[in-house]
Amino acid sequence: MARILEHRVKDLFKQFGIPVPQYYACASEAEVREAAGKINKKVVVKALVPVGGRGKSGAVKFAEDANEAVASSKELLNRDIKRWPCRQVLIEEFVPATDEYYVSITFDSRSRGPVIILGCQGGIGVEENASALKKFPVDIRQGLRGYAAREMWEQAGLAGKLLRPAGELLENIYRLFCECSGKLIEINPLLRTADDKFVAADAVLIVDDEGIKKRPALMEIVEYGVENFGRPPTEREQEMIRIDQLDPYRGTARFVELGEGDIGFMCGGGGGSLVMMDTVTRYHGRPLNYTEMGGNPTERKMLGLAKTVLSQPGLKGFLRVGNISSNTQVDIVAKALVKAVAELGIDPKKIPMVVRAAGLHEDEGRKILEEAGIAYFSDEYTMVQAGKKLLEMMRQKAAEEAVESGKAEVILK
Amino acid sequence: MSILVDQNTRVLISGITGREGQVAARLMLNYGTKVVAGTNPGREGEIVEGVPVYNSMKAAIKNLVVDAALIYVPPAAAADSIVEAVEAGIQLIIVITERIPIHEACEALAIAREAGVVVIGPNSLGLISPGKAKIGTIGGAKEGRCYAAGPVGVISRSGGMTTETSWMVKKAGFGCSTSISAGGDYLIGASFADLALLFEADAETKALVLFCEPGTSYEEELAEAVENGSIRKPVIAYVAGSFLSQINSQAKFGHAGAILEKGRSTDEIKRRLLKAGVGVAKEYDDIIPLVQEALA
Repeated sequence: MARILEHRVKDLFKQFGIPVPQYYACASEAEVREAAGKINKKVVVKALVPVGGRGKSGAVKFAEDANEAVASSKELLNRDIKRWPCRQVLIEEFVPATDEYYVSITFDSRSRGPVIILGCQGGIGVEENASALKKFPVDIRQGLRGYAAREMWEQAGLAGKLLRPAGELLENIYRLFCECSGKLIEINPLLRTADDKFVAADAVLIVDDEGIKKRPALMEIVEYGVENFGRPPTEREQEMIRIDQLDPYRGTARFVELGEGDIGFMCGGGGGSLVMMDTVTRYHGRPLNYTEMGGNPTERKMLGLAKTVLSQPGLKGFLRVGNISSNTQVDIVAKALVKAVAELGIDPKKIPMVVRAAGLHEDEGRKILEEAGIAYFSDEYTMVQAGKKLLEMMRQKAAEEAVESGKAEVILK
Repeated sequence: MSILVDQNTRVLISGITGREGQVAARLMLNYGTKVVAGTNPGREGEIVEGVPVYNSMKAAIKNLVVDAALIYVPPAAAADSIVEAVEAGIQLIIVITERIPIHEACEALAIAREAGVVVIGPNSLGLISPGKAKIGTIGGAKEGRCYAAGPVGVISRSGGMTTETSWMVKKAGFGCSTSISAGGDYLIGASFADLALLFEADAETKALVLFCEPGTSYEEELAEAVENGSIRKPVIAYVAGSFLSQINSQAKFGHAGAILEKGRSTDEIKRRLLKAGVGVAKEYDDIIPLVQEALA
C-alpha cells in the first residue's frame, strides 16, 4: 500500500472540489518565512512525513506570525519525526472552527464494499471515542447518491442547512476515493467555520498499489512501502527490495528487520510465516527478522534473501520452514543456502541451521543440505516440531559454549 | 459427498493458453477433473492439453455445459473475466489471480453475489475434493501426499496452509471431504461462514478445520454462524499471529488481507471463536488432537 504526503493529497482535494486551507510545502527557513508572509495570519506548521498520529507526537505546531513559524519549523525540518526524516514542512492557514467533524472511507470485509464513517465530534482523540462514529456501507455499483449522502450526515447528527453542503462534500470525497483507487481516505478534522463553510484541515490518502498502475499521475506522487514497514526501510530492507525486483515475475521475497533477536528467519509464505513466528516466540525464541517467500523464486533471488538473512549481526541460529508441497523448489532453496553459507563463511556447526521443506526435488535438496551440515527435515517433522528443534539446538550450543568458556561447569553424575 | 467440486464438475479455464493456465489444466486432468474448455480471445480453435479453446465463455457454453470457471488471467483483466463468467451463467468461479485492483474486484464480487454465484478467491490456490477432482494447482502433482479422502472440511485463506492443514488432518488419521483455499485478498467471495454453511449441509463432512489470520471480519462472521446454530458440526481453528502483540514493530505482516484492518487482532479473534464454542488450537500442532477428539 502506498501513502501520499499531505500537500499532495490537498492538491487532489482541490481538483475534486473539497475545500482546504491555503497551504505551502516548504523545505527551508526562507521558504517558511515567505509562505507565512503570503498567508499573513496565524498558521499551522506540520511535518510532512507519511505517518499518522503527528498531532500527538508534537509534529503539528501553531504560529502567530512568520517569526514563530520559522522557529517552529526549525524544530521539525531535517529532524526525524516518528522515525521519518522530515524534509519539508507544510505551512498552512489556521482556520478558526466552530465544530470539528470526522470523515473517512475505506473497505469493509463484512459488507464486502466501501464503508463511509462519519462523526460529529472529530479531532485528535477520535479513536478513543469510536462508538460515536457511524458506519454506512455503500453499494459500489450504485456509487454514492446525493440523497444517501445527506441521510448519512443526518444519522451522524448533522441537521438543518448544513446537510446540503455536507452531502455534496461527501459525494466529492467518495468520487476521489473511487477515481484515485483509494484504500483509505480520512479527513480529521473536517472543520466547520463560523460562516458555515467546511474546510478539510487534514488529509490522509492510502491508495491501492495495483489500482494506480492505470493512473500515471498518481504513481508519481506516492510514497511506496510506507505501510509495509511503518518506518523508513533499513539498508538491508532496501537491498532486499532491490533483489526482489530483479526477477519481478518469479516469486516474491519480503524481508522486515525486527531490531533485536538472534534467529535468522526465512520462512514463508504469508500464512506459514505467521505460524512460524508464533511458534518461535511461543518457545521464547527471538527472531531477528520476518520474511515471506513464495511463488518459487529464482536461485539468485533466493541467494539474495539467504545472504540478507544470514548476514544480520547477532545471528545465532537459522530457520527455514516452508509449507509441505509448496511450489518452491527444495533443491533451489538448498543450493542458495549452501552458497550463502559458504560466501559468508558461516559454520553450521557453530550456528545451528534447520530447514524443513517437503516438495519438489526434495531428495536432491536433502543431499545438498546434509552434506553442508545443515539439519534437514521433510515431512517427518511438522512445522512446529522444526521450529522447536532449532531452539533446542541453539540452547545446546549455548550450553556448550558456556562450558568451553568456563562460564559453566559440567556436573558429572 | 463433498462440496463445490467432484468428479462430475465440468470446468472452463479462463487463460488456459498462458504458462500457469496450461500447468493447471494438465494437473487437473491428471487428477481426474473434467476440464472441458478454455478461453482466450482470438485463439478459438486451438487445443491445449486436449482441451478446446474458445474466444469467449459465451462461445464455450453454446457448445458445452460448464459448471465452474477457473480464472488465470492477469490482474488487469481478472475482474472482467469474473463478470463474463457470471453473465455466461456459470455458478461457481475460482479466481487464482492475485493483485486485482481492489475497486475492480469489489465490483465484480458484488455482481457475482447478486447473481447468487459462488466465488472462491481472488488470490486462491484452488480447491480439492480428495480422490474426486480438484480445481487449480492445489496439491501440486502429488496430491495424495497431503490430501486423503475423509470427513473433514478444511478452509484457509492462505494457500500453503490449506495444504499443510489438510496434511495435519491426514496425520491425525483422517482425510478431507473438500479443502478450500478461500483466497488471501482482503475482499473475497465466499467467506468462512458461507463455506461452513455448505459443509454443514454436506452429509460426508463431520468436522471443520479452519486456518485463521487477523485483519478481517471473516472469523467474526463464522463465530456468529456457530453461535446462532447455523453451524452445528464441530469447528476447530488455529488463529495465526499471536506473536504480533509480543514484538515491537509497526510493520505489517501476513497477507494483504491482514494489512488493511486494525482492531481485529489474533487475541480478539481467539476469544470470539472460543466464546462461540469453536475449538481453538493453542499451537498449530494441537490441530491433530483436536481433530481426533472431535471425530472420536
